[in-house]
Amino acid sequence: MKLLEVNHLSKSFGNQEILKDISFHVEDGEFVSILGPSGSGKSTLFRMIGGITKPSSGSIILRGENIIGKKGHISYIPQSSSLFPWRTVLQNVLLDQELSGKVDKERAVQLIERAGLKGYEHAYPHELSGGMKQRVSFIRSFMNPQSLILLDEPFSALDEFTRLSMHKWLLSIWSENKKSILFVTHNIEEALFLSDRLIIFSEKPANIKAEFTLPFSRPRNTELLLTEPFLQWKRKVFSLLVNE
Amino acid sequence: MKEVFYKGWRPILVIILFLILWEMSSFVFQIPGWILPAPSDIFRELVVGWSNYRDDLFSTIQLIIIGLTIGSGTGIIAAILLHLYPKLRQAFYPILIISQNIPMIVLAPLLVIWFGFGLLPKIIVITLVCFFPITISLLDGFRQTDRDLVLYMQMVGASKGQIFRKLEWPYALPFLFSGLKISATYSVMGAVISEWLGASKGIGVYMTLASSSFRTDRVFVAIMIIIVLSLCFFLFILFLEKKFIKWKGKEEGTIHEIT
Repeated sequence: MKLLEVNHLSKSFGNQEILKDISFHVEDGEFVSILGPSGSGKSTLFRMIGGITKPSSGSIILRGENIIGKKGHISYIPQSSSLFPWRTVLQNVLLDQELSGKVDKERAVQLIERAGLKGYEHAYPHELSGGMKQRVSFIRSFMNPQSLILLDEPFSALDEFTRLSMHKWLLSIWSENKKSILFVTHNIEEALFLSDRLIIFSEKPANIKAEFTLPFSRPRNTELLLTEPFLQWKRKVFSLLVNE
Repeated sequence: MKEVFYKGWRPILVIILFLILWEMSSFVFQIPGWILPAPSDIFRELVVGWSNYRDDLFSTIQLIIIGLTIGSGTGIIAAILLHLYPKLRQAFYPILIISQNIPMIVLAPLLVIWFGFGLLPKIIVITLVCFFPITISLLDGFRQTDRDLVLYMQMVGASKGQIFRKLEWPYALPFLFSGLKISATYSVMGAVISEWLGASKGIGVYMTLASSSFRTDRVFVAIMIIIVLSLCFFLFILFLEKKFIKWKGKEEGTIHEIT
């Protein structure tokens, strides 16, 4: 079943065209990545799906309902962890639920434990490392009742080791919680490793250059990164991005 | 405590040296007490004259507490209104600034003409002195709210009220406290000035009486009381700040092992 449908979406600010005729969809429970150079209008796309910015033309349909200009239909993991410094880990994780009304503390504690943060429930964000903060930010959006998560380059500030372990951890909580993910990144490897489908954006104005369904089976391990088929895909995507 | 002493010994030494110098010059140059009393005379009057100024002191403390409460309340409400209604801010912000340029010494007698010698004109004076630092720093705090956090709240569909209650207000709390610290010290001055207008009791009254009867030692006693009161109110706000804002202890504090 199609969860999110984006049809012929365009956006310009003044004379500058940012997005040009973008059409794609996300199935229920699917992990879709958008790969493109920085500044290719990916955050503008997210703002439009989030209902903050209105497109110049086109439509955004979530479960059959047009959500243009409507907020509160998605959950969001930003680039910086965006935790509230005066809230403890537990209070931060519950933020999204407080906004919509129902608070499930037990599940929050469970998810915090599963993320390896047991004992940190009452710690403040400034006491956590970058990777730990990002985990808290992920748990917060998995606690959000909405079923589509927008992921905005959440690994870009992490070091390589933390990034790899975060990828595996994300795949494991994603497989346990039936959510759909739309992931924006400029890192080829992580897009290939994580997603079911890959959409490649061109540079300004952004439109869709190519779309692939990835053949790798799940659950995925870090070993996949060094297998021949994976490297072939990497070369293929890389040459597509480089040859304008 | 040790740390306080370690940081504080330099200014304390300077003050002690200054007092010794003062004491010696009044002795050597035989300066009459009504021009400049020696520190020892002032301390004697501070201790011996306790019953003379006790009632004045309590009356002033009471006035400060009432004035500071009403003044900071007004300041907080003004800041919230100006923040939530940008049109109000455009209209009133310049007037706020202008209001601070009216000399209090000129305004005070007018307030007596309008409102008499009661408590009201005094509270108005303290409020006028107090609310401005609070309103300005709180407004700054609201405006400086982290853009990333605001974007997050908008993306997950928080209403304007939720953004204010859950994000902007807690974010601006440290700013509120820096405003309060300034207002707390101003409120002591405000109280003394308002007592000059005409009151039956208060440190301001005690000071006026002392200076018109050439009891310069008592004038200095009044000055010392004002300094100590300002410090006490300042420390009280500092205490509240430590109590309410635990999360800002260390900015980029201990980083744990990356897991």
